[in-house]
Amino acid sequence: MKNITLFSLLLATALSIQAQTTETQSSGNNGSFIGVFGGFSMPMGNWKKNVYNKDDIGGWIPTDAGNLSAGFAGNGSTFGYEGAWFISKYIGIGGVISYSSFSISTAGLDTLSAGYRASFDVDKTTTTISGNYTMWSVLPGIYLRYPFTDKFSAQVKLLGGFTSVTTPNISVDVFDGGVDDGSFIQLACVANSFAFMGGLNLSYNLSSCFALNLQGNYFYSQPDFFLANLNRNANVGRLITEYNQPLTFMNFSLGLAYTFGKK
Amino acid sequence: MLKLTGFASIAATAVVLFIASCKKTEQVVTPAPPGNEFLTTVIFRCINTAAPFDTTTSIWRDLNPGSTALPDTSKAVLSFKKNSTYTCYVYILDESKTTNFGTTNLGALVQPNFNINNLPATTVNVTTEIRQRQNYHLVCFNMTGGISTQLSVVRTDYDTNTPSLQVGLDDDVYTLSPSTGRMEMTLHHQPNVKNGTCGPGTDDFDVFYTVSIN
Repeated sequence: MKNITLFSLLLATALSIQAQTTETQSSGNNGSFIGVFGGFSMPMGNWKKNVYNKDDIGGWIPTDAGNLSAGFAGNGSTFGYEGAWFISKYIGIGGVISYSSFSISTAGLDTLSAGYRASFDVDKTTTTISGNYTMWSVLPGIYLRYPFTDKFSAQVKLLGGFTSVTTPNISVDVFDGGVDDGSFIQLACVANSFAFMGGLNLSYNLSSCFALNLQGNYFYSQPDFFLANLNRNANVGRLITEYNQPLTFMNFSLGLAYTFGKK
Repeated sequence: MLKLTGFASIAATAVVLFIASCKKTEQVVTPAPPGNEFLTTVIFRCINTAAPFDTTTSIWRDLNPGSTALPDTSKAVLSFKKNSTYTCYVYILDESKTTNFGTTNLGALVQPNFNINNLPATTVNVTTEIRQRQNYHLVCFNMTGGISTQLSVVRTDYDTNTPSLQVGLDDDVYTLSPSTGRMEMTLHHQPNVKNGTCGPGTDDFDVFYTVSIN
């Protein structure tokens, strides 16, 4: 619902700009642009997986590869700034500065809490997630553009750069026999890595100055997280000290760009 | 004017997107599913290290846990020889249920041909499960009466915590002079609070054995 609202806002903004254009203008721009984009992102691979492989007494299998590689990431959003300068009609250089945010999925939160409850064999666990997986990325690269008409063009981009990723804080409070046995916490962690993005933009010039971009992007990074666990006194269940899995996602977004070139 | 409005729209959109990406704290409470797990029987079996034929086995049994009926302590008796060392094992059973090997989800927990004191082979042996959960369990012993100064118990098994902590399902018992008294054995469930002492957590069982050193 949130993403639909965002798309609607972008679309309304774009249409209002178009409505303010009082005369038909031939865009005539060379494809160079700067703008904002935002949209829906879907994590992929192990990072998205929601795994709870149990032993015969119902607890996490501590050494199970599936348990240790699952990231429980839910769908999220990505927004940012993007710009490109086309040195010819077809080829440009540019980049993206983006921020992505992915929550722990609802099913993942339920799984984590149930897994810890069973692993410690207690009456109740209260699991609290603070924060999201968040990514700040700076990705320069090349853009290839093919204008179909004056108003409509397609761009392919291939970007590579840097990303800084933060994991959420996961706190598990353990209750048994009417006693609160305290909380253990997998602390939030930051790791940096190289990142790559490839994508396709479909661009429609609303006026001589503004264009609407519909884009689909694939993002890849693999930061190596070294996770600290606070007050984790028992070596039981899923205990993660390092997480080194590809963090990949598909992003579908709508963007609004200010275009440069001949007016 | 058009450009100004456009830039303002782009900026406003960026702000809205940023705010929309903010995340509240999420929390879920997971209660234990309804269950009927019982620890009905606790057996303490000791073997004299110098004379293996000298074995003493004590059985504390409460087949109706939760009821007002008193537990069966007629076999909750341990008899040791003076100045001896015994290797002892704790067995924890659920005699309210039976199982067939490999046909239930408890099959792996049952020792084939479990015949201590002629208990049925289908008896559910919870000891294996406690062993699997040893990182948050601790068996504690408390002696009262004359044996309090004449008998000591040393746990010999360790869990896989870092650092390793004692568990107490395997023990050595050391006796000195003839005396009598009572041994209290408690199994402490210490989820994430196990520190090697008997204080934290709750009791999974609390049983007593009458002890004599002859």
